Amino acid sequence: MRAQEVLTALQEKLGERLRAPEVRTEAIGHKRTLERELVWAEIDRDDLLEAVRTLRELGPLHISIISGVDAGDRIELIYHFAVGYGTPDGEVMVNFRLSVPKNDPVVPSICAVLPGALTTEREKIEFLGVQFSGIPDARKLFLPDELEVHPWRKDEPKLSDYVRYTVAWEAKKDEKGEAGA
Amino acid sequence: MKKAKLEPEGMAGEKRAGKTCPACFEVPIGPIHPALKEGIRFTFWVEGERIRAVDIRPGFMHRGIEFMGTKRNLVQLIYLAERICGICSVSHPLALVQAVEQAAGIEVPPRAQYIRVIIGELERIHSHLLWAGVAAHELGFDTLLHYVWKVREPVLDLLEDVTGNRINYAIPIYGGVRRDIPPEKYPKLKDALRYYRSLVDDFVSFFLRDPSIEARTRGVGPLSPEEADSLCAVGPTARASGLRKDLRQDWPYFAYPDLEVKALTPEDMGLEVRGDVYDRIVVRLLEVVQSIELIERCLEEMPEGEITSFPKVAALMAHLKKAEGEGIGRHEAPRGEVIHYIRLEADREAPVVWKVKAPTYSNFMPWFPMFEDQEIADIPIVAASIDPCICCMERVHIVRGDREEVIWKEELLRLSWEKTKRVASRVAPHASLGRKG
Amino acid sequence: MKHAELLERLKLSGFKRALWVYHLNTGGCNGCDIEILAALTPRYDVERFGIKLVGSPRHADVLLVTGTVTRPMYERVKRIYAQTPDPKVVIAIGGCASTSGVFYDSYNVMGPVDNVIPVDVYVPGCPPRPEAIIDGVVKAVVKLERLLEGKEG
Ligand code: SF4
Repeated sequence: MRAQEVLTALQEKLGERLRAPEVRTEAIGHKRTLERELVWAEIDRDDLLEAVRTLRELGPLHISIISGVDAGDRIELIYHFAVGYGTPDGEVMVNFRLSVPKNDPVVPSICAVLPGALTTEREKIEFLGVQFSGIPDARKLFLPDELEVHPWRKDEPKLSDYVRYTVAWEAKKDEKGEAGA
Repeated sequence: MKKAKLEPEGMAGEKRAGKTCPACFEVPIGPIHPALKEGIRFTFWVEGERIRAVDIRPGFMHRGIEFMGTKRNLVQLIYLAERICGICSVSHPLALVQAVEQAAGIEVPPRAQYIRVIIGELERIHSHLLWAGVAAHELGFDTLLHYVWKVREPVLDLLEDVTGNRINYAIPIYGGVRRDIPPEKYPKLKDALRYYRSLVDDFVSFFLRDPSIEARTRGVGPLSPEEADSLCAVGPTARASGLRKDLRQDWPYFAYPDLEVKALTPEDMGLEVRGDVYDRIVVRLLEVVQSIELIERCLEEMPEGEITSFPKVAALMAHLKKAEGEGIGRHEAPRGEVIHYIRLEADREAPVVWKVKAPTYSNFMPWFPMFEDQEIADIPIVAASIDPCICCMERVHIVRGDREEVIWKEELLRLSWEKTKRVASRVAPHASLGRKG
Repeated sequence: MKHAELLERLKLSGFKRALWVYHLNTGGCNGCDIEILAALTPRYDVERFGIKLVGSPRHADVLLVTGTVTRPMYERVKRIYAQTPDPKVVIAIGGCASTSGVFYDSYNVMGPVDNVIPVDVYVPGCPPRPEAIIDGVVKAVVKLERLLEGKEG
């Protein structure tokens, strides 16, 4: 699988809705040099399922992870897929960036297309407070039930209550810092 | 092989138990890990001896590493990444340095790439041997546990010799490695590799030709190729189900393009792929041999030269401070794919985003079909068969000894051991557990 | 440590019974745990001194605690300490258990073990070598003896 094939297939399906498509390459190897390719693109949440289906038709599909960050009034999610594992040197990483407003943080779940995505979607619910429509199981996964905050959000006033000094000298250092200022 | 039940709603054990098995008993286990020392809670719904549904709740070991990581500078991040998991303690830093090198545009000298491969493969040998011992313990073969852990010590000595520590080696740094492997050390490495080669036959006869082990693992905890594919299994778990999925082959990095690694499945030993626990043993043994070969080739082919492009840490820090961009680093750890995503901003020492994925995170979903329709006594070995590393997955941690435990670890193990005894007297009434190859 | 020396020290300490140890991981990285396991296997083989890993705190003389304490573990550590019969000795194994090590500034980390329960012996290292762990256990024996004789409260 080459990045250009992936990109062409995505563009055929999504056309203009695939924004800022880009292929990043990296040369690797010493005696046998190769080009390693990564596809980056931005999409809207409504196009996510279609894009994932397109990838699935292209060949063996693996979801590595969904990463995310609180970007002010929006939450940015990045889906990292690997298309075409199993062929030597033939894997392409496809990264979709999508952002959702904080007052309506709902993204369609891709579990119906790729059931293996459930772990990472559940993780995003608890860490970033996004919702996935159609997710089969939205319970907490890693965080304790009594933790009421979404730790990766920057607008959580209560978060600092949970972050405590773990050793006594840290608190002392802070006091001194304040006195000195 | 049983048909895959992949409808998403089939995944939430609770719901399914109510729907399909109203007569089931609920058996919570944990938060102990029946295999290793880490906490994770399993809830099984059983009908007689058969498991009908399962629910798994991790989270006891969560330390919030990614959260801490966004408050530290990039060099501190290496130490933190190393301590995500003590067993695959070089895998996370190896993925992290790749991500940062990509984001900051740092070149790595070829010799450093080879040294990274050598350390990574030594770690694979130590980790697979560790697993083999734990698996033997789960089946009740403690002699084998002690034997395997004894032969594991030489690889730790080797790691200590080349890196300075038995665990948490602190070898990778952005732009290279921190310690060279000087040619005087090659003979020692080669001797140890020869020693491991000489043990391979023993391993095959102890693990693969033993009728009791075969009876306890054949057909147990199966994962079909379709399930492995759609649930995104990684590492030996995926390969044992016949998927040739190996980052060293599909997405080469470091010196792997030169070495042309091939993903191994049970077919490479002339066996039919069945995706059960036995196949997972086969794949790991094959990979130990593969790692020995790879290290030998690295020692032969390793070029002379620098081991880092930033001999002075101050220059490295200055470069990192200016760096801006994002990067993805992936590494095939002993248990499967590790991926790190990082985003850097100029004039900020800490990363803006740091996301870590450990192999057990991907192998979490495949646990569900594996447990289905298995016997209670098989729980320990099925749980252990993916080589779970809970603290890795959660980047956090927990313990056992909770009130909710209905079956204690010991009791569960006792069930497993009794089954082995039963099975052993059936398959080999007079055979001792010794070699018969 | 030389085996003879270790035996000598165990003898000197006059501890008449086999020492039963319970191992608790409260949130470390596993590095310490596999070193504890390594101490039990043939190269180090502590079982020949009668040191034995048990599966329940109720049977234990010594608690080996590894790792920084995570939020969900906090209550459980206390409970396990309470379940261990007196006289008991707690050993904090590794940098995390002693000082929290690299894990600080997080919503889920509650600090080193001595934030939660009293600790008698600290074994530094990340991870400490099996020899260091054995040394820590021997120090615990000495302490336990004194507790048994009623010299320390
Ligand atoms: S002290 Fe080090 S090796 Fe031990 S659990 Fe903590 S981080 Fe891991």
